[in-house]
Amino acid sequence: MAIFIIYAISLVYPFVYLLANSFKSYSEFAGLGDFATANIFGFPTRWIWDNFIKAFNELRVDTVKTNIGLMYLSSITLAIGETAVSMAMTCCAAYVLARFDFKGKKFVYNLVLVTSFIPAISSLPAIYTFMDNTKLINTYIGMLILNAAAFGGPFLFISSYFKMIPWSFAESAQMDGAGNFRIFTTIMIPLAKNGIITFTILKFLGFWNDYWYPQLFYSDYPTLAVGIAKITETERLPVVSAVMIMAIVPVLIFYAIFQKKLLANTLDGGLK
Amino acid sequence: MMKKRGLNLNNLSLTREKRKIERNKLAFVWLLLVLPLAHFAIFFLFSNVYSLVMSFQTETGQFTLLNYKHFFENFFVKQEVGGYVYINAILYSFFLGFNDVLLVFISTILAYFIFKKIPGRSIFRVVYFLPSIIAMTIYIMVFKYLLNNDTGFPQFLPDFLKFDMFKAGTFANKLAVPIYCLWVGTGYNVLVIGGAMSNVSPEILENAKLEGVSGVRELFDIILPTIWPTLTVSFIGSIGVVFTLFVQVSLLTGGAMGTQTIAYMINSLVGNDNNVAAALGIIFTVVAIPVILLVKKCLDKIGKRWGY
Repeated sequence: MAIFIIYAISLVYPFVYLLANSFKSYSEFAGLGDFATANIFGFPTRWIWDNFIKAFNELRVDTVKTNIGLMYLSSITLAIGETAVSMAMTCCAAYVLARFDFKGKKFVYNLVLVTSFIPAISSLPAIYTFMDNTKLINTYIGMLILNAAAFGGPFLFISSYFKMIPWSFAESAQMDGAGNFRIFTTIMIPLAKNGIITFTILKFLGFWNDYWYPQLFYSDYPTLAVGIAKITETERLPVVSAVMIMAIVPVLIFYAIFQKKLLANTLDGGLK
Repeated sequence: MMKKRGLNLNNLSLTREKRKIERNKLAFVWLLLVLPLAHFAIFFLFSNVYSLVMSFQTETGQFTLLNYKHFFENFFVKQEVGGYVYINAILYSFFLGFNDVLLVFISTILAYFIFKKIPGRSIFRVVYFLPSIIAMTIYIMVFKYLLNNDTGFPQFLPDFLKFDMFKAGTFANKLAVPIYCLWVGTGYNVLVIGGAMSNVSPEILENAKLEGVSGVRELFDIILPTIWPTLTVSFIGSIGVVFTLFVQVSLLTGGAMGTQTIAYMINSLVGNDNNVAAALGIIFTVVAIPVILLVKKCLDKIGKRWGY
């Protein structure tokens, strides 16, 4: 039991550490000037907002001048766009491969499954060259295209959701004159909404927190994840803590709202 | 005669209608599939083939074997900085892969206790999921701060016990990534494996209990066989780590001496020397595929014994 508690504390403590330091002056943190000793782990003796103000004014990420507002903008626009595009692609592919029989279906399905075992390391140089040649590096549309992959883990889960929906719903709609597209958008997607919402949230969080692709393909517009990693090289810990707190808070609010759905749909049950 | 002709006409229009439905269905299927498949074709199939082509090219596009020669010539050459760079990167990558296997083992044992419904289970679930939703960069940076001599816990240690985990070239530096991975990875794995354990039929466990089966036997003879598919996915993921771990290395050690991984090496070349990066990518993919398939085959063999 003790091990579970200690481990849980170790995962929560970083937030306390960041919160306490984000409201301290650097002098207090490092024990300079009026402060005889460094106050690294305690709460501030004087709570100040200076670090948050600095975060809003100007931060430097490599050669790019930015601030927390711009980093937020980059993260939000990217995460929303990438999630929307990739979920649309995933739902389309998952639905037709789960519910329709057609020539080449087995080939497509097996190709996707087999190739998912191949690690993505060999394709990166070619992808970079492709993005560079097509002038898509450091463009929003480039990031959307890059992250629009339909296949992968969520594809398998969502196609299993579509498979579970009784086809009689579609047949009834067909008798009422509904076409394939209407059945897909007005019947199948709403019926599979539990799975779709869960993976939309997970994908959104994945894109929001992504570091690899944005630092490689979108470095002129640093996102929060990229910016935070870089500003640790130039800014002092209290300012970095303030930026981190501002990045964490919306995610925690999001988590507080959706945690039941997230935990239930992603963790319960495992694989059968 | 008229009736028969009418029937034939009906059949004909029915066949036409059927064909039209079939045509519409096919058009719908390919309309929905065309973009996902085009993306897959460009960003997976074409990019892998193009990487292969690039690996045999110079920057100006002429045919060369130099990119491969560079790798094989330097494989056994000790560099002034970094020693046997390639061998070290391969060994360190596999070391991190085994660390991930260890992580799955530890998580399985811990998940068993969570499964046994210890008090506070629901709070643990919420907390253990946190590293999956908070940006990895934040956890990595805080990990760095908390284990740093100046800003973290080591400052409370006596001098002879102090170690600098983030000083390049030290043994402690090599432990930064595996310890970080164990720290943030355990919680998520405990939850996933614990979730799989909830599939075990309570009746079977009840019967086992009545027959006096010990906790260890219950875990190894009943629970592990039931959750084998989940464990298989976790173990294959661990092997994937060998070839893909990059961000943690980049942010924790900066790829300092002896802490480079295969993915880190390739990534640091991308944008600077894409052709050498492509050659390395191809070499390690050729190694990765049989390794992953072999591990999968072994896991499937074990699974077959349990009826999967």
